[in-house]
Amino acid sequence: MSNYLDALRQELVAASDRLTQPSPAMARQRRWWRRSPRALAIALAGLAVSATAIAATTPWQPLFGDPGSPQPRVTGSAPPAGQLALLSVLRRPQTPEDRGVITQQTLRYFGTSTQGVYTSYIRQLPSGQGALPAILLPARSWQVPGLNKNDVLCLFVAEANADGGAKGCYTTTEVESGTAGGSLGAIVYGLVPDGVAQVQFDYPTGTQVVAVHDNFYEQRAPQNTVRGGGTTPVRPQGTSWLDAQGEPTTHQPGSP
Amino acid sequence: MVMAPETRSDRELLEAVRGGEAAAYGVLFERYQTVVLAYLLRRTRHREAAADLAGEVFARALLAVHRGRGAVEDTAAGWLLTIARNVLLDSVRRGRVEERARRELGIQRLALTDGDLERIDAQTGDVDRVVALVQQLPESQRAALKARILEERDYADIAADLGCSDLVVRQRVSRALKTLRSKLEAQP
Repeated sequence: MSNYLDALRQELVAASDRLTQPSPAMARQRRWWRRSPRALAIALAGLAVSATAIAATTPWQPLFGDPGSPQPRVTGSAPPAGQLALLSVLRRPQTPEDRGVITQQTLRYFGTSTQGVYTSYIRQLPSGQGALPAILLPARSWQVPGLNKNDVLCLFVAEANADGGAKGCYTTTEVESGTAGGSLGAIVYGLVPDGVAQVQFDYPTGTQVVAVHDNFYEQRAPQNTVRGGGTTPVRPQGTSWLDAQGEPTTHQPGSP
Repeated sequence: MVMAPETRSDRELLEAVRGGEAAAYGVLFERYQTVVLAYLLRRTRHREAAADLAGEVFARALLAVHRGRGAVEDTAAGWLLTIARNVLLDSVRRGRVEERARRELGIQRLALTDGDLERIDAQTGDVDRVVALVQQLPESQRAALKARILEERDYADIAADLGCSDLVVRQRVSRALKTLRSKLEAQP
């Protein structure tokens, strides 16, 4: 590399570092305010101007839960590298739809049980079953009574024709092992790693193959009638991951 | 599973910079220094001015990133070249190379040696050669190559856009790369 360009790169990196670190000069300025009331007035006037710039650098902070309810902490940084490497849906740019009104309606089902929400990585998933789209929400932690997980990928899948849905948070290991998902009524859904283009379910009555989009699948499973008149999804005898050519992937659900 | 910084998209790098990972801006700089230099060199035909302007371009882009702005697309190339164009126009209007962003960031203007100029020639010369060769590719191959390499889109997505199968897109990209490789190797 050119010495000039190398030196320029180093200057830029150092400047970027300075921009994110509070400098000793800023600390001195704070002490200076105390000595001079006039300086304080000027500083406050300046604050009104700089607040716009500060707001522009803060992470997206949509409303979680209901208005007035405690809000989870959010972060403008990226989820762990392992999750980004595993799921292309997180590597694609966030779209206006991902931040749109419909997503924000769905976020009312999330509260303070998730903390450290990576809001720039919230994704709307291609879901055709529920009244609202499914949502993928990465967060630093998920804590509910009896359960505490770190670095989670939370899924919300809306129920068809109803207000509500299913929510669960999964670790990277659970995605890799094929256990990141669940069922909601007749719908079976889940998150799968990159390279999985289809999921095959083997039922006693036959095989069903469902396409994966944005690392997410949902499928209407065969139903068993239960006592009292309700139904429950038939548990598949086997589940396989297939690639775009319909061939089994090297890594299969349940394998280490 | 650990992802090397170089595999992150430009957008992810910019988010990392905003999050306090200063080194990510170094990665972005290395990724686009040649493109920005080549752009400025083609317009100024002056190596020292182009290098000086490039410093201001990356400084202005850095300030923008920390103010919450940045590339909207997954690739930062278009955004950086827009900044390059603005820096160039501002410099022409003022009759001197702009340095406001560097001053704001406390970055010194750096001197260039003869060795630096030769290396800049070599780097930008490579870009010009590749651009010229890409222009010679058949339109179908050029479109597939641009979508796959520059825009980093999935084959299935490109296939849907171009109205052909994944396999055809893969073949077009593969043929385009093979053609470019053989032509570059054939050139001295």
